[in-house]
Amino acid sequence: MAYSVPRTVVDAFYQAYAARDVAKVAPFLHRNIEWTVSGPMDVLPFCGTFRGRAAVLDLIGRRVPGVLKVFSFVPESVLVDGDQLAMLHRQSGRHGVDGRAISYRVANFMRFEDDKVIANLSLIDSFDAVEQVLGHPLTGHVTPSDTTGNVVVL
Amino acid sequence: MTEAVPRSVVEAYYKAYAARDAKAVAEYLDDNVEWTISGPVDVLPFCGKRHGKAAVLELIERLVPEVISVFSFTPEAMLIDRDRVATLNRLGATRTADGRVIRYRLAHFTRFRDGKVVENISLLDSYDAAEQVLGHALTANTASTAGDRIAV
Repeated sequence: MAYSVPRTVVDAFYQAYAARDVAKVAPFLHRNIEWTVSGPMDVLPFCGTFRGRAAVLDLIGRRVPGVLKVFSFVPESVLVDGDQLAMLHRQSGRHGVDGRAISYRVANFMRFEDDKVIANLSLIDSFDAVEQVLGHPLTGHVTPSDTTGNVVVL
Repeated sequence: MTEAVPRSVVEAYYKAYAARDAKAVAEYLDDNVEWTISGPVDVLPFCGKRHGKAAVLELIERLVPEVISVFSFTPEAMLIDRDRVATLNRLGATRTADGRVIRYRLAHFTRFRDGKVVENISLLDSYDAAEQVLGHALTANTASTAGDRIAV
């Protein structure tokens, strides 16, 4: 019979992950985990592919806070189907250097094995996230009438 | 209690959506559907919020094809949980203006009621998608290089 991740496991993992509690997240990560965040690594250094439990914990505990100190993690959709978990949530935080407020939506698609996360793919509205992290609109990309007012922020 | 959407309905809807078959998609849209695609509307004009079946069909039939001509739409993950569906998809398209190939992943979070879509939120790696549509790197005022980007 195919493996299904229990909702109790998902709930406990999600609670630890939302709290950015590395010690509590660790037991839910498979040692061979592969964790990918899609986006421009030169501007958002937490983007990229991270392999192994230590690398993912370093991402959560050091890399992300280096850019963004997360203070809010609000779920909008949490779906469980078989061994998979999909989440849509709004992540809010303050810029790691100057404290500016930053907020954007994140989608996670995770796969569990033996009640541990073995794969994750995160999609973010990276254009919006980059502008917020840089603190200014991306320049010269389209027309002279280009304004930040044209960016849809969800 | 929310009514679970049957997998057969979801699969039929996605088959129509992947084929960009507006007539077939229309059968699965609630009259008051809310449809949101996150991203910069000045670069990707199909981003933004739409309300109502007619607006969503116009998006599929006119606004998206004005920018890109989708030639493949492959679901990589599909989760169904009660009235909600989440899909991770890989989109392949050519830029309508010059035929350049564009590929990116996008996620849909969709809510159904009575077998019809009442809400959809789409999320994509919009920085990567914008660069591909524009055909050049965005100026981020950093030491950016194309090799530093991850597109998944």
